[in-house]
Amino acid sequence: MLFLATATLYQFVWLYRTAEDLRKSRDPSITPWHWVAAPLLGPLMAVPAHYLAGYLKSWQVEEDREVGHLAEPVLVAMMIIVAYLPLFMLVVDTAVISTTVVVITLLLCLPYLTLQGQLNLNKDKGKDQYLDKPRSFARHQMIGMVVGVFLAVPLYIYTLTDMWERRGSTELVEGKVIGPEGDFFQIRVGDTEWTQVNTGNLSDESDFEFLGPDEWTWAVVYDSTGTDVDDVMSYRVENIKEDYRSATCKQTKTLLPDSLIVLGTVECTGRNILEGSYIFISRVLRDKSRVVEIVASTSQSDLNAYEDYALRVRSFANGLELVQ
Amino acid sequence: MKARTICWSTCLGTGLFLAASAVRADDLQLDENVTWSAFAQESVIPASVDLSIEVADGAEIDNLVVRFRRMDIKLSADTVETSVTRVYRYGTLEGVRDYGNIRTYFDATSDAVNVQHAMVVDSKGDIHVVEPGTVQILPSDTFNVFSDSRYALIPLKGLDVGATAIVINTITTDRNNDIGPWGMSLYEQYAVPQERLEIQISWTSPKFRPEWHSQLDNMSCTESDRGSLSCVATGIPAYPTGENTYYDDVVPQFVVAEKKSWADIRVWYQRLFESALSADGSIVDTAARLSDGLESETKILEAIHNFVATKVRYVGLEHGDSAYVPHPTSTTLGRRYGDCKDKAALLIDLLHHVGIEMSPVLVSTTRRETGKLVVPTRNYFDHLIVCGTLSNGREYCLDGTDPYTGIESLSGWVQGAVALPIVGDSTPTRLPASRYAWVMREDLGLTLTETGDLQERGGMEYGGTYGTSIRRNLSGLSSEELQDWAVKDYHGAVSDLVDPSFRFAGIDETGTDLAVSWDVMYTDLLLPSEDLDYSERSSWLNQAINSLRTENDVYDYRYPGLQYESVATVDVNSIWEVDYTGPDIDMQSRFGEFRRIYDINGQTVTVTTSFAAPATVIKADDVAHFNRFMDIIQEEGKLRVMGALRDVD
Repeated sequence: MLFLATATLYQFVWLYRTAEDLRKSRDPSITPWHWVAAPLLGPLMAVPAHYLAGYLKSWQVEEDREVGHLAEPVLVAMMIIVAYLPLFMLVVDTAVISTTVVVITLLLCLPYLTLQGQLNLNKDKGKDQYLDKPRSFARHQMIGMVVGVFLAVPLYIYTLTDMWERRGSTELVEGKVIGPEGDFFQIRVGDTEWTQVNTGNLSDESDFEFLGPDEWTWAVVYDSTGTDVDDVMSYRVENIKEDYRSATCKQTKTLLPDSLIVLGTVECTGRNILEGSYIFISRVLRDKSRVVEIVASTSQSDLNAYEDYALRVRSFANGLELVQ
Repeated sequence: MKARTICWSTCLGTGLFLAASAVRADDLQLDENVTWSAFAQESVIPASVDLSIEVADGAEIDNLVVRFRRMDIKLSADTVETSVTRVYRYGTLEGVRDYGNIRTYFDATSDAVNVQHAMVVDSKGDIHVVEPGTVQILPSDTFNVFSDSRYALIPLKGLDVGATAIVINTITTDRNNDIGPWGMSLYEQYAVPQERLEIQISWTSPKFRPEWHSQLDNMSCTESDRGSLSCVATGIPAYPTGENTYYDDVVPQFVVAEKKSWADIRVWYQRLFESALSADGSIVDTAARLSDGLESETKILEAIHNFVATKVRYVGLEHGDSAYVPHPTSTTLGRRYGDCKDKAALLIDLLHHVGIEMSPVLVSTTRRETGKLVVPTRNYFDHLIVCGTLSNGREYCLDGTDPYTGIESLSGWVQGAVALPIVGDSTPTRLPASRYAWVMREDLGLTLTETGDLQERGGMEYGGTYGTSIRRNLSGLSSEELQDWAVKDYHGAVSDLVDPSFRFAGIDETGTDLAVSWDVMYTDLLLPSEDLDYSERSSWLNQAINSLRTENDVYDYRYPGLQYESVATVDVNSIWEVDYTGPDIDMQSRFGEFRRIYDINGQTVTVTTSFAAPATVIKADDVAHFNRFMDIIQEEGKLRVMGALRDVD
């Protein structure tokens, strides 16, 4: 979220300064504050961005100067659209973590590419045509870019690393039993490619969290008391459909074989552009007043990989059992 | 351990009681069977014997303790003389209230009772002799059960906490007046603790040596060569009580009877029963009239059973020989009344004259365990039905005293009971029992209106013995009474917010299930301006489960079986769009299965539910699991429909 905010602020600054320079040097009728509002247009910002980049391009041609790598207006417009697309998808139907990374990456690239041309221009202008202040700003902007972009990349890497560290990364071996000692449930691991991570990585209210063989495969366990199985199941369906509106969900309630343990199962599946095929499996076990739920999920763009990962998710979820 | 002592001013010495004595001239005749000679004002408890008891501090004091119980039975060619001695100590006021009247049972046909002592030594040592004028002689039989058993109700006088009561009586059975082989059974264990139980049996000749069997673990019996048996048990705890229990199956009993085989019992009763069958013209004519125009055997069977069960009313005629011997069938037909034996004989006779052969079956209505019948005796049996196999190979058992049950199933109260068919080489067996004694079918239509009201159209069909019992309760009620019954039932099971209007069908028809239907409107139940979240309990199923759950964890539970099927439709109206239903259910356990399927069709959700848990014997240590299964069905059986508010545009 920090990167997202930085990149967004960067756009406001870049738009304002570029428009201000153009007003002073080329067209006094330009009102920089109007351009500041451009990012609020969302993907439509591609239009004013294209106009502004075109203005810079024509200026370069008129001056007939070799000013280095100036971004093509069409490229700038496309960059804007591509940058906003994941953001748009985020609203519609997607998983949060992976899309955030995409958005941040694209937004970081955008100001670098678009600013490059302006910086080159400013560096090569003579004093007679331009004031010191813009040049000074350009220099400062260069510094800002270095701070905002080149320092952001290590920060970005650091954050990802930190995220992995916070996950705890306890490797799981086949047959390992995880669960609160002496309590009524446990998770029996059948697949060695899972990692137990610290709680709080995937959910704020979980009791156990796990990452599967890849970043898009995970499982979370919730332990509660006095909750109705139907309530847990309906909440899970509602929760999944909030993010995946086109998901198809099926719920069943049974008894575990040879027992009086109620087992509620929710299985939601679907497919979207960004993640490919996805599956959510929720298994809710109830023994009298104790309820424990495991939610496991994966998403894969490759259908064959999806089948394999779905099987792993199902297998891991089936590892939740009650201690009799 | 610190102890305190409760001591009476008088004490009891065993072996000093008076032996049974013949009726004396100055005895008071209370009844044709009962005489009274308990006039002695002095204690029969000699002071030399200490009857004090020690009760540990904090120990619970029993309401009543049987300090001493002795049965002294003397068998001879003409009589069986039984001397009964009972000494009780009353530990609490509750004990005084609950056990202050002593009962002495006897057979009015063959027994003579003489009460020799009936007195109370109160906590101060004062003696209170029972006033003979207060003794009542009452019949002990219950509806539909044949016997000539009666009892003398002896109200003890001057009872207080700490008092001791002593009752000594003799029962002399005249074997020449006895209708069949002699036998008796007595509970060795009581609902209160016993300190000492003695059973003495003697016989005057080896040929009178009886067969006997004790079921009490710590009963010690010694048989002598001189023709006697002596049994003693001490420290017998009270038997635990538990609901839904046939105590004759679980409480240890001492059975002693004239040595006979089951074949002897069958032949004896066959002879008695056949004497009632007649070739009277009225029987032939009635059989022909009832079967006229009916082609199948089952139709004929149904018609004749219906005639005997509904057109011949039940009247208990159980005195003397009539306790076991049916009246002539022509007499019963002419009277249009009779007891179980009379009706069974009439059924068999009428059916015989239309070519359907059935046999009498002696039934022990209070027993379900054949393994407990170790000593062959007629005393186990107290009811009579008929059974037979039609040419289609199907066996039917019919109870002529039940006008509410058709031929397709046996009356609920004797299903699974221990029985002795009076045919072939039969031995005690169990009567057939339905897989499901409770059969319920529900049809529920729920319509949610635009104003947030709920319109309910409901229907219930009751089958099995449960349906029969409801039909029995409803039979003869006026329309107003039926409505009141149904409203109360609805309030108890579903809701007391409304008083539905009910309709009934099948109350007087044994061939169909009883049907109850209703319409009702719940107003302002939902908010039509918000998304829909409607849930509904399976109220009628829950009500049945409440009745079938048991708290008895002492004895095995004979669970009678429940089958429930339901189709519920929920019309959510056009203002909502169904976006969620509860989960489909497929729960299976060793006790039964519960299934539910949701089907969404536009604005209507159809919920199909079935529950089937067949009759079985639940072991005492499995009752908690059984109850848990029933809990799960109730807790997880809620149906749920959710819908999003549609856009008004």
